Amino acid sequence: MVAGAVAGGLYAIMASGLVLTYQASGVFNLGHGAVAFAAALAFHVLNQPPEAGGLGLPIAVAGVIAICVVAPLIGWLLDVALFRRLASAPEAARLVGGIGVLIALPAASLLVIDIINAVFDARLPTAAGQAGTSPPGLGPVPPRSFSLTTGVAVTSDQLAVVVAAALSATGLWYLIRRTRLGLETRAGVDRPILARLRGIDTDRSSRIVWSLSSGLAGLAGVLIAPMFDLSSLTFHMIVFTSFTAAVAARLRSVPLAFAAGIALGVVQNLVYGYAPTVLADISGFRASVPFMLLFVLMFFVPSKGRQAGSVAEEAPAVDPRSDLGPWRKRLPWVAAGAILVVYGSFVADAYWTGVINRGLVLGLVFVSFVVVTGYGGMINLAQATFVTVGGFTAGWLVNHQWPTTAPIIMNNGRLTFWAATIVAVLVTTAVGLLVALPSLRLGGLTLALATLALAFVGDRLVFQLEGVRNGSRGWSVPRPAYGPVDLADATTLMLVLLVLVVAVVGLAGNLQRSATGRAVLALRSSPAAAATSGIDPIRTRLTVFAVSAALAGFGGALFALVNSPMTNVSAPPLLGIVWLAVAVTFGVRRPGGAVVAGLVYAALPPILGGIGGSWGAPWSSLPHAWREVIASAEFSAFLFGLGALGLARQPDGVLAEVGHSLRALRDRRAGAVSRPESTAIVSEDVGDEDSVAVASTAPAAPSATTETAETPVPAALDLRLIDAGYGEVQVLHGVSMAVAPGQVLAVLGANGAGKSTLCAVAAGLVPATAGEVLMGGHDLTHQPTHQRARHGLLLAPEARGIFPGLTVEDNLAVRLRTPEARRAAKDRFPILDERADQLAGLLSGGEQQQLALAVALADPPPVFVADEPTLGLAPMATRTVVEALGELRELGTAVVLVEEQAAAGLELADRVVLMELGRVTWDGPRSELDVDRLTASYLGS
Amino acid sequence: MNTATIAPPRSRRRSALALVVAASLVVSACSESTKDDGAASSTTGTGGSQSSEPATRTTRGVTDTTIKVGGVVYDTYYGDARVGVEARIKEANDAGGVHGRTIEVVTAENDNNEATKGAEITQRLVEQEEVFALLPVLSGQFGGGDYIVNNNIPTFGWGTTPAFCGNTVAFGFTGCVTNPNLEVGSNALGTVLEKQFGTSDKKIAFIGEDNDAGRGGLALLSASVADRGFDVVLEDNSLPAPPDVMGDPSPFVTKILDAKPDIVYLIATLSGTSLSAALQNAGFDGTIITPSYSPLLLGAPGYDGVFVNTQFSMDPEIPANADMLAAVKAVKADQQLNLAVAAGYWVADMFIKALEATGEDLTVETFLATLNGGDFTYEVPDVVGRSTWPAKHDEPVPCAAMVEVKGKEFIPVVPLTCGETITVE
Repeated sequence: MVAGAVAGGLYAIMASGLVLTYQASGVFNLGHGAVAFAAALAFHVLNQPPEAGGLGLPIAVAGVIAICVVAPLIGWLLDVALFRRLASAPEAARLVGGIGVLIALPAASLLVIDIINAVFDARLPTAAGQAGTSPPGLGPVPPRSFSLTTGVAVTSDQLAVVVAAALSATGLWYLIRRTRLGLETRAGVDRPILARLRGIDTDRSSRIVWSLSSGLAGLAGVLIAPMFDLSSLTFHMIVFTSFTAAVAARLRSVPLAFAAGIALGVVQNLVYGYAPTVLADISGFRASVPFMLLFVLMFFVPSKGRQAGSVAEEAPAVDPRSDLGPWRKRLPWVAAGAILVVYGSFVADAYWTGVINRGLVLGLVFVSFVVVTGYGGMINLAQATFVTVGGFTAGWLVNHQWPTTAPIIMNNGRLTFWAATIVAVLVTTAVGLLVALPSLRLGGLTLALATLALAFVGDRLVFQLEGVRNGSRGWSVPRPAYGPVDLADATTLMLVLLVLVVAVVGLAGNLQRSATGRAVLALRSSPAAAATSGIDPIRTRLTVFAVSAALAGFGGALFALVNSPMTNVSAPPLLGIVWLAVAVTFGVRRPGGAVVAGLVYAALPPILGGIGGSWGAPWSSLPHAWREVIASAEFSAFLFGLGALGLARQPDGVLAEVGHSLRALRDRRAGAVSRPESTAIVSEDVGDEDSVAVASTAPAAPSATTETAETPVPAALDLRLIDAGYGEVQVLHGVSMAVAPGQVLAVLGANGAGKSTLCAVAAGLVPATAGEVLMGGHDLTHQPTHQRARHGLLLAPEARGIFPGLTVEDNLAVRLRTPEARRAAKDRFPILDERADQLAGLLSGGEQQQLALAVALADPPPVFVADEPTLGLAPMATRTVVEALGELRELGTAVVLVEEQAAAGLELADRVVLMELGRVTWDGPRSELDVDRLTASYLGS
Repeated sequence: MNTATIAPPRSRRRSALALVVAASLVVSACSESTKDDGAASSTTGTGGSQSSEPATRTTRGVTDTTIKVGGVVYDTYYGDARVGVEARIKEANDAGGVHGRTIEVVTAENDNNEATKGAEITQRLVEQEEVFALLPVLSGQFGGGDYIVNNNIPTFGWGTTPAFCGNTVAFGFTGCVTNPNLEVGSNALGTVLEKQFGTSDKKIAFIGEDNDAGRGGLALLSASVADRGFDVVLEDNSLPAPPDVMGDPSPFVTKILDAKPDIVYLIATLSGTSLSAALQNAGFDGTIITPSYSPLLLGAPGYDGVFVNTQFSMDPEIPANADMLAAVKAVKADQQLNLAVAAGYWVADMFIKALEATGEDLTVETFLATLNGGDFTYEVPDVVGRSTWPAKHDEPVPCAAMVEVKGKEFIPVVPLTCGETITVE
């Protein structure tokens, strides 16, 4: 048990880091191990004695720098450059961002060392993966050993793991549950927008969380380094294994993840030591246990996707080519295809044609990503497994000697390649269905992890079997000939593959336009609405998954043909993950992108190899050190990883980016050419808008300014000539209003008048495209939301301004920092005292509104903006709200009460602003408001 | 959307599907044939090297004055082999080359242990660089196995991958080390142990990695000692195989101690020293043997006191090894002696001996015919055991040596000792 805690400690540290960042930013970082690797490498470089090329720092110093400086810095950078931007991207892009880190970070770390060595002629050790080069442990050197019982001894390195795990568990728990930072982080995770409205800088807490999580990865990395070798693969595997613990904690609770990590270590220990012989005799059974567990655990994790089912999960991609005709759209592809054919047939030699062939086959495989991820919005990390299944099936069939022979499908008692391919497709489809059936009910990330688990079970268990993989020599697939069409000839093979690629791309395109395609689209944008329209989500997803598996199987058979022999290491799981990253990088929404991705993936390493090595002028004039760096395996890995990281900029991939740039170019050109006809319309629009804006603001603006001029103190909140909107839709047109301290301003208007947008602009959630926001005379127009909140602007948003996932006490503590203030809040609303330890989400509607008001009442802010505070409340509860707002006014707060129901608003108001279609139509004291005016603003004047 | 608009794409899809199916049927109707209608491993067509048809004369990479070679190396394990190759080639070139031809080496590329990458590099070396032969091939997952057979590419390396077994073009300097059919092995380990202990009345526990390759390797070793009369008390394949790592050695230690062996033989790519350290810490006082000869491990906990058995002698006192080391230092002064550097050197040495034996008329065909003719032998006295082909295309060189790790030094304890090849059921 104690010994199992060693491996368990590592899993625990990794798993809690994963859960922490998942909670903070919604990103499940598949590249967590890369951070650990980078930290371990830094530790190694810092600690190695100078004669070995290192810097010779003492262990403690090197360890502290690696764990507390290098790793958190990496996390900070990752957050700022990548994950923060990906937070609102589709699930696939978020996962691929992690994959980008997984690929690029270890490569980048090694490249940095290579470059430093090349430029400064240093001899920093890389030692990546070199057997036996491991840095010393954090304990005494050489490690001391302690005997526990007979036969069981623990070294100080191992003890360090257990101690570090326990310490970091306690530290994390304290940090999250007992500190301000923890509270802010939890609030930010629960409702990010509300957190910003309460003055929490969510960007900052996200950065801190990422630094912290990376620090944990770094700690694990430095602990791992002395026990194993310095190979990034080792680190990835430990992290992948720890996924099981993270999932066991339902990706939610850090302490639970921690406990699960320890338990996983113990279980693994038991399995290695004491598995029943029947199972233990199966190669790889023991190694696949964590992944089998992962697969099973998936079914106990509540899917996030299902909870958020009603909200549009993803906006459909904007097609930048929508202005082009069908032939203009295809023209670039036809041209590219023609160039490829000409190059492959007449220019390239057999080697480069071979590269193209491998690229085309990979393109076919990548099209399966388009189907499952691009269309279906699901992430499959087991595509390499399907490729292997397809390849093995085809390989087995073409090599198996049957007792009889049959015409057409057989050749001397062996199946022909094409017949074998068809069977391979069927088998892969069946496997795909088998995998999909249980796991499709799961949401995006859960499905991705389930397929990852499957990929490793396949890799370790099934594909290890001698009969399946034909021993280590693998399955050779000879290239067939059909009369004069001899596929052994690279050019012929290329032409045949091209035809197949075009057919598959066409099929995939048709699938998208088919009834299934539309059903999938409907499911992605709103599962609930799709279900009510009679779409069976499971069947639809199953179809998509099966088609994708079939394509991967087809690609697998061809993969075996061009990469013969097909072995169990031809397409390992990690390679499949890299493939996904490359496919998504080039754009996974369209099959054409997949083909380009395949070609680039196959061609880039040989091209870089050529530049860096064998090619002559002009490349040979590059400095030798540079060429070595370019040709290194790290460099191409780094480029692919970097491509995946580029998703932060354009989640739809490189091709979409190119498409959008071209569209912008076309639009600009079209604008220049067709100016005569379009200017009239444009100027008319502008003129119209201007005149309206001027007309409507003319009476309002002076009234606001004169008012502020009259009062000795500046207005508590002063909005001046605000324009704002969403994207191209302008909602507010030159809106101005002001409210003085101790005054209640009621903003009334019908649904769609722009009241909530106004609130959002005031709080800084929606930027004003024109105009100014002032508080107490200070210009806050360009301040972010949390800064405005700290200046004293408290917005209670429409749907109850509380954090449902936090306790009542924590809800109060987010804004009320002193116990006295919280005490006062609870005295004002005694029900909150009774429910202090309950989750706020469990309170009734009225109680939740009381909680939101209590936050304001106990420490009255200069400005309180309440957006529809009485919406959906019982009359009694409405009463409480009105009373509370009145109290706030007595305490000197400037209250902006935004209401659709005029009665509720008018009761308290000192001033009234009427809004209609984004403009202020009337602004004046309550006493001067006449009912006709009010009715008109609701019914439309 | 009404049903009328749904119909066309659906029927289009069907027709496209039908088209593809029809096309594939038509394609398969044109009776498919493959060059290779026999067993996957046999070579026909271009591979008929022994048949001395005068028609084929492949002189790729050969001029009157030069021979070009290039290789595939997995850097992490075998990166230093480049230095060994360079050292031996430099010796030959400094001596005026072989039959008037100097040898040009395209620096071996790293396949990163990825099969597909190895295949791509192989094709590039042959078709772009136009190398005469692949030298050296040292990778665990060499992916060019089919290519070298189909295209008749002479290949030289360390026969630890299946590409060196069952064909007539690949030559391992210690033979086909692990024949994938797992039926041919050698009793070299048993012979060495008998020499070391003076008796075969010992109990041996084998522990290896949990994959089929590990299982196969262990079965051959276990047969090797059983053949000499040792008592195999444990044959266990439960160590995590790479890329998995052993988090904690105690279950394995318990398992080994329970079997009460005199000798523990452990094969573990990544966890070897941690397991031996745990064994030593747990009070095991017998002999621990591993095949991991690595100067980098010297000083690591668990390496001191361990015996290392190797397929060829690493004793630097032996004249041939001393010469090798001098040649290596001449190329790279601070190069440590390790398995990779030695393997690279001997692989190149074997290639040069084969060139010498072939004579001036050098084509792929004459070269392979010489090597496979049965008269060509390769042997380095007291260092590398004797090989002849075609026999060694299917079996290992049945020799081994052993050193003991003492502090930061390797102390030779058993010189190169040869047994016999054996058949394993």
